[in-house]
Amino acid sequence: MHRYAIRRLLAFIPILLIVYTLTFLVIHATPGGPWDMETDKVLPQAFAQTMRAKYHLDDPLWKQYLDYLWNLMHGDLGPSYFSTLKVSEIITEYWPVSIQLGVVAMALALLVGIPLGTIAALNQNTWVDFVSTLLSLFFISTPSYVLVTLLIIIFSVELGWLPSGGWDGLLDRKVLIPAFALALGPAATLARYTRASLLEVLRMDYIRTARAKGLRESSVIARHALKNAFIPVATVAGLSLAGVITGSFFVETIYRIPGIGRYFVNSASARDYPVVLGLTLLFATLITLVNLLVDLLYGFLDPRISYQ
Amino acid sequence: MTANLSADKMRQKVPTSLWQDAWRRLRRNRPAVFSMVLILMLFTVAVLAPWVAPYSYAKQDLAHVTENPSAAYPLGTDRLGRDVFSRLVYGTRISLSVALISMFLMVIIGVPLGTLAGYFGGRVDMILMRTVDVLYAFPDLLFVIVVMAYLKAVLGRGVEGPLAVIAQLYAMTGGLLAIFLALGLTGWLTVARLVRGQILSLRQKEYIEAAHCIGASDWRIMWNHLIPNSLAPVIVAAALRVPGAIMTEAGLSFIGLGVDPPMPSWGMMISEGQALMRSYPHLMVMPGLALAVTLICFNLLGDGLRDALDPLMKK
Repeated sequence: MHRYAIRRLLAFIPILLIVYTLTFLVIHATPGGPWDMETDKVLPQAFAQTMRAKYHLDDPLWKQYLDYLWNLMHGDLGPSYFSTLKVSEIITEYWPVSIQLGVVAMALALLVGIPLGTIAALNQNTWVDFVSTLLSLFFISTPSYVLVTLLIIIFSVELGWLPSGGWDGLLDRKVLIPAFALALGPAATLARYTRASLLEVLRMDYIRTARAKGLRESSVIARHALKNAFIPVATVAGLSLAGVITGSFFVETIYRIPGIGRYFVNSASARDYPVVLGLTLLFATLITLVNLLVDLLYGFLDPRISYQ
Repeated sequence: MTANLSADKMRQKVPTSLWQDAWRRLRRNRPAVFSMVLILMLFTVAVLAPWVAPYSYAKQDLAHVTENPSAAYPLGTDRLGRDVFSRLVYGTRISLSVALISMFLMVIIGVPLGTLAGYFGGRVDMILMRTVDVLYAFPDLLFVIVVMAYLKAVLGRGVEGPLAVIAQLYAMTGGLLAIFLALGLTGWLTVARLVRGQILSLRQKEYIEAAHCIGASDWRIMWNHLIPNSLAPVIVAAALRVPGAIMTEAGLSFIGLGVDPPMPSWGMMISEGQALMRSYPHLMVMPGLALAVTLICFNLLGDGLRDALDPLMKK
């Protein structure tokens, strides 16, 4: 298990290298540089030239490629062209906010989704199951940016219970609307997978055995069925976590949360190369890490799966 | 006696193909049939948009700006005095073409690559699967954003030479072409993986061995035996990814990286309406509802197809 984890961690290096190379190629192949925007604000030629020289954009591409890589290996993600902050400072400043929001949302999704799916499976084909399926379907089919707006209209504009935007840390009530907007979609997905997986497990022989030896129903469900039903759910949860953290920028923008998501969208159109590269690498690391954790979790949930 | 009866029944049963069986099962699934009918209606609306919509999607009526629903404007008008209903009608064209074409691209790229990797194995397989692994590490939405920025810049500025046709198509579709390409380039991964797995298990079957023995070529085995037999889960996977594709297009248009205005993408309408949601919530709720209903239908149809084509999954 340890050796497996170490081997997987070592595989991060080539994966991230390829991610870097691909992103580097695509952004440099994209026509238009950071200072030759076709707007009516004509920048003096000299200024653009100075800036290009300052950030070594006139160097040959292979040199820029290697320079960034060299700096990267020394922990330097480079400057942002359009912000006074360096890329590493942007990350330390705004990333924790996105992470906190993402983790709260994911916790909510698990707390809502898994019980909902369990209840639906235990009451298969009753009205409880039907309502839960219907709700799941609605939340899966509604994008987070629509949900957050609906929640704002209902809870801050109409009812006036919650503020309509802002961020005051994890424990403020301002977190409720964005967290629920992000959580309901993954919660619905988790509920569906939990339901399907639990229904399948409940038909297994070992469940019949557990019941036959006189265990209480609650302990059959909790100790025998759910643990095994969680294996496919873990994959979905891992994918959702990555999705919640990377996809949070819709919600961040609408709810005016100082997270990192909006930086990515802006930097891609502004050709802020170091920011695009830094954030892609950051998110790629996160996703690869989550995938690894999910795989390790399998081994924990199902001892039959062994890693050599 | 019951045994006799069932034996009789079995004798009478006309042999049916997988597809006939699947169609029979799908028809019994009421939510799926309902969704299918609704999706067909949406397609009709999309094709007949100029006749269904009372106004053009870009026509402005500056005397009636941000109006609530009325007789002249059944769903009201937006900030620029454009009819919301007409824009919704034209918007179906975008969402549905994204659904169709992204699915087509996913299959057309994913199936051959997955088949080759699964059939030949070895180095071909390793290269393909490592590529898929790396692309999986890319944050989906961010990758699409970077690719979109590239495509919009390359195609939007008018190209010479062989790419000129593509650039013209891009201009004609109001930027949709870039979305198709970005979604196709990122969507084939799942399909390729799935097909490869299918081929790996089918390759061991006796009928493939038999085909080898009578001297069938690799090409013939792949095309006539392996691909048709691995198609069912591919259709299911592609159908289940369609809602995601529609949602991504809406999301891209929402952040301004999707279609070019004045093309009325639902995502763009939602983002425009979102700015005015306090005073005119209908501007956001209408396209949001249209999007949600369409996605629900595609989700239900996808589920129905899965249950119909994969009877083992169902109890």
